[in-house]
Amino acid sequence: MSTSDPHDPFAAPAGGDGGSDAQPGQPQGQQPGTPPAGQPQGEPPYGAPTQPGAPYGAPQYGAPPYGAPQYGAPQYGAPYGSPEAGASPYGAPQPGQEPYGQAPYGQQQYGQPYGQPYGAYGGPQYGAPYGQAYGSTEKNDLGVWALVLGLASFVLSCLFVTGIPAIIVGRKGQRAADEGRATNRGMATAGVVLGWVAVGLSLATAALLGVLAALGVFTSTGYSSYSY
Amino acid sequence: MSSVPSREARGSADAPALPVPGVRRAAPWWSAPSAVAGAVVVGLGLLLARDPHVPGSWGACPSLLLTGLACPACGALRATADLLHGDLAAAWASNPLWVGLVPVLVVAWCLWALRRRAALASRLPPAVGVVGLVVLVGFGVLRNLPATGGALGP
Repeated sequence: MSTSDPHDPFAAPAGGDGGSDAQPGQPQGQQPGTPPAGQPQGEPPYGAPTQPGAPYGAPQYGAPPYGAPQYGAPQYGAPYGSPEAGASPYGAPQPGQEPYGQAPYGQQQYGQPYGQPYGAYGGPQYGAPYGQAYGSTEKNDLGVWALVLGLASFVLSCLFVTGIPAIIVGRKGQRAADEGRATNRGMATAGVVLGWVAVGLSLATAALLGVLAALGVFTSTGYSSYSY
Repeated sequence: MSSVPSREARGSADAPALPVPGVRRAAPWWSAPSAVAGAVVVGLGLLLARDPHVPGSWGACPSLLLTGLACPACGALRATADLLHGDLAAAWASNPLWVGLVPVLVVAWCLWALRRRAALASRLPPAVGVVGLVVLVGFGVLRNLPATGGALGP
């Protein structure tokens, strides 16, 4: 993570890891070390690196499409943003994130080149990565869903069925919180933990049932009806 | 200054992506919906091949074994197999919540696929999950109450 001078936003690229010669407009220069490699399903129109500068970015900044977002930043939020996308752009920074360290460059680069997360949870962040300040709640959905899925895995006896999605969604929520696009990192973490506990219990149960089956318990009449 | 390009001009799934290091090319719109559909079809095939009504055919439910209580999902496999055979009454008797949820899931999948095709994002509000969790717990409680008399299965 970048630890450069918090008062000098232009010092951020030089201070970022691997970004010693990075220009502000090059997104790959300041990745925080966790490239979301598990998101191959980026939504084409928004995530594809061909567009970000095109429609709204000021053309006078020239051809490089990656350099445009930070200049045209505020406009990006408007066309796609759902109501909460711009809900609290200046909300309280999440403890544990660096409010100033990556100052004006960090936002646009996170998430933008990688596009949308997978599937149904990708909604509200469309316009957001460009203009959002830290503490945005646009991706708080992820944390809530992770917690819901984690709890559901304990309501249902087939633990892993929702436990594994809880882990996946929770990790996305944690990442979003680290990037300042969610404020409920605790909920996401709870979902991840519950998901792992559920998967572990599932494995233990499977092993136990395997042993019981090997001992022939299920062939006896007493337990013969406990099917799914 | 050029005019603002239209939505179509800004790219589709087939638009050539610039070679940016570390950025994978976007998958086509149908990849995720068809993956889900394929997984469901495989699962249904397994259910046809191995009847869940046979005791122990799909293992045993640990919570039912340990507590004797039917969790909200109890009977879902049997209900799905009954639906595959067109026996709606038997499916309803096994797990009415699941039988009611199946058409919702089918419609949701269709909407999701259509929206992906149109390059629109789908958003499932977290309130749906919270309400669903409450419904799940309530259903699990109700079906275990003697007052319901096993009307909620399994």
